[in-house]
Amino acid sequence: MINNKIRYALVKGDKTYGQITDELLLNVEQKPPLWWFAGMTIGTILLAIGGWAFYMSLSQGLGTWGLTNSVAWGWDIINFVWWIGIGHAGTAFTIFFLVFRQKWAGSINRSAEAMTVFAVMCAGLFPLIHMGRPWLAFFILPYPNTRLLWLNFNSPLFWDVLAISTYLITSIMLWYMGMVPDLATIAQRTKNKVGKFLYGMFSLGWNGSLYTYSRYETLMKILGGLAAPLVISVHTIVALDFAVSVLPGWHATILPPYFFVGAIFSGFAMVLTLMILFRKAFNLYDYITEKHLDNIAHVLKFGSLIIGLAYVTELFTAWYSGVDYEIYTFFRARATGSFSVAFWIMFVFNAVIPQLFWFNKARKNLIILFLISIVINIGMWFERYIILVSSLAEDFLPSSWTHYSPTMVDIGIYLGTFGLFTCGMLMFVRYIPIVAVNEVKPIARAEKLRKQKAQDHEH
Amino acid sequence: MDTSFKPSKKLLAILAAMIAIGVIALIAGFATDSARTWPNILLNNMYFITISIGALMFYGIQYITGSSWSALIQRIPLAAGAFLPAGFILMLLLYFGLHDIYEWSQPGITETDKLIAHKAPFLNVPFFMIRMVIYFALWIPLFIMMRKMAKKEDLEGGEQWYFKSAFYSKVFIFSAVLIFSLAAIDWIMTIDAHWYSTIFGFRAMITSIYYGTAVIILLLFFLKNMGFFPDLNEAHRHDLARYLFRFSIVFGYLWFMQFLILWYANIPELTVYYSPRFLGEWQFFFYLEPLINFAIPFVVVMADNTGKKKPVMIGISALLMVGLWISLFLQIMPGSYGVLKLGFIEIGIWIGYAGLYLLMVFTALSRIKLVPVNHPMLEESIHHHL
Repeated sequence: MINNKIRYALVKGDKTYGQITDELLLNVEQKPPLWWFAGMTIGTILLAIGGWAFYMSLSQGLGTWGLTNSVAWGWDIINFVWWIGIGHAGTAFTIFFLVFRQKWAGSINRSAEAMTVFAVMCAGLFPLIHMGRPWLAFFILPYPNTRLLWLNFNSPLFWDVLAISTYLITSIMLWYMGMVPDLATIAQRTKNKVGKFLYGMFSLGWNGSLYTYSRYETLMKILGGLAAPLVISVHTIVALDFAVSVLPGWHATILPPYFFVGAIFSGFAMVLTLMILFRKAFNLYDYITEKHLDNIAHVLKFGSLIIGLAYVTELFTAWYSGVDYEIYTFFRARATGSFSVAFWIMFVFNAVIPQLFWFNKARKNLIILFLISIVINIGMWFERYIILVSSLAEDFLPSSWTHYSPTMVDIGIYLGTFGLFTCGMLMFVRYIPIVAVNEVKPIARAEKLRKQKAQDHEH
Repeated sequence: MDTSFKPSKKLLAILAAMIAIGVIALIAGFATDSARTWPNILLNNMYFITISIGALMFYGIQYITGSSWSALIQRIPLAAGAFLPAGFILMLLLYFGLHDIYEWSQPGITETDKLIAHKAPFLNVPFFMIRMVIYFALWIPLFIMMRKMAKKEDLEGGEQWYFKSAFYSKVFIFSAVLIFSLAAIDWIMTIDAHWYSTIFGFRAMITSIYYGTAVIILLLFFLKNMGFFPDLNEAHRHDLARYLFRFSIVFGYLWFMQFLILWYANIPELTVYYSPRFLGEWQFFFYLEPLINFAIPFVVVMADNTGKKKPVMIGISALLMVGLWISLFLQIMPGSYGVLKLGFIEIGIWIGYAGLYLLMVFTALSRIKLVPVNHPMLEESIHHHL
């Protein structure tokens, strides 16, 4: 018997299966509301700005960016790391759900996975444009060629290519395989002929038999198990891009775990932002309850603690090392020098403000939750800014020190990825159930049985 | 359900014999070579503090994540932390041997060594001892409170003790994450006073849960053999095996990252740490460490039916006990004693410490119910199936 005073309801209300299906397919079956079109318009405008910036980068060259000889990695790589960090949460939720058996993640992991797919796409754009000649992008793949050129297998940049493309493929697989049963449900219910054909085709002949389910669960278990090390490898290798260099501020052994935790942290913040919006927009209060948001807030609190530990460790070790360059980078350039504003924004936003989640009231207040989730994402952007630019702009040779500021093209590409993300997520909420119907039903059933047992026990 | 454990006379006699061996090894060590003995004392202090903190972190994680499967066995991790007070006293004793372990503690070194002079505000004997006292002044009261809540739950029942335990678990995790990282830097990393690595504390902190889990498994099977925990089923064992599996990956990850980053950048100030270990006479242990701590557990525990195989779980956990020793041996000895010596002193002192550790753990277990009879998730845990 399960103790109902300790266990909270994962799905509220006494719902029949039919009710659950109706409520969760609402976003697919209803006509899109007005704000959806407004969002699409904004997204498209942003995409157009991105398109212009992309065109400028290609036609005029990367000179249109704010990069200089010293700061050869600027907004492009900052945004790349930022987006890929956000992407981690979707996989993390799937791992929570499939590997750690945290049932509450079941109603979130679908939309978190969608977020992952689009965020990783946004992230992938930046290195692609940064190559300068994207049409030669296939050069980064190892294949026998008439040029007799091979890649530098020792370069973390090449590891990046492998890690991210593997990750993107696995994420799409997880996301798509997870929604196959739901697609079949939609195909069955829809009256639209084109819809019926498309949803039916993508549901891969799902028939809901026990045999199908058993195969499906095995597949999900394997995919979840594969995703777990992948999600760690991706951000680890992103961290290695920096850590294997000799630059002070980059060459730190803590960078891989610190980047990984930071990625989970920023991704969870983004999930929190999206969940607060989605549950309001589609009336999902019974499926994404306050307790779900509370759990995310707890994870953020813990992530913030680890991030704070990493910041303090880095500062302490910089002093402890006794190396002049390390001390300069951390205590002069970052903490008190030309980057101090960004540094303290990063520190306060990531390591201090989320500690508010120790208080029950902060976790229960939707406005505070929403604001902190935004604050964390700003803070995490500044973290990448600090790591990249401060180490590059003021390096070993003071004669080559420069200032770095982005140009309109830099900003344009960043806005463009926002457009891609917005449009992608809006298309997702238009055509695919936000909460995994097939995952929620067994959870709701278990809940119902539990309540009945408790009642029987009382009588 | 039999929930009270009393160590038998035979068991106590064995533990006493183990402690006696330890004392003999200590005497032999101090009579022959005190410079070799002091680092061994540090090694074993760190060894048993690591598994104590790790086991308590395991205990805390169960509350934080709302895990129900582990409720049945949660008294074992709680008792496995009982070494902390003894660890405190044994750490304080190091005061008399600091010069034999830490280069920075030698008088007058700040005048000849510029780098150590820079670090002197942090690396000086009084501050070192003060920090040590602060660490234990945080851990021991928290540990006592966690035990107290568990005992009250046994006596009075009710959900409020669950929530209070959860609260203290959170505070404990918070302090252990911060403080154990710092403690590892403090006690181990400063042995190589010229070298530094930011991952060092983090790695010690996270991997402590790995070894804590191994100890929990060993204690659990020991008690199970005596007839306790009749409700323990394959699913519980499998979940414990999963902990080992996941943390074997974490160990391999953190071990490799530190090595890769330092090796790749090849900065002499930082590769100095690895040159005696990777290229010098410690090379055998250098390769043995990831083999025992990562490769073997990873491959063996990966199988989906590990929960069924009792000998495998016991074997891997016992292997990890060796692994932690090798890991610490490799971290401590090259920088302190400097010569590779492995004999009766090393093994004897470890046996003595193990006897003391087990004595404290068994005493703690005998003072509390083995099964948390009023734990709100106990029912759920007993009926745990995968």
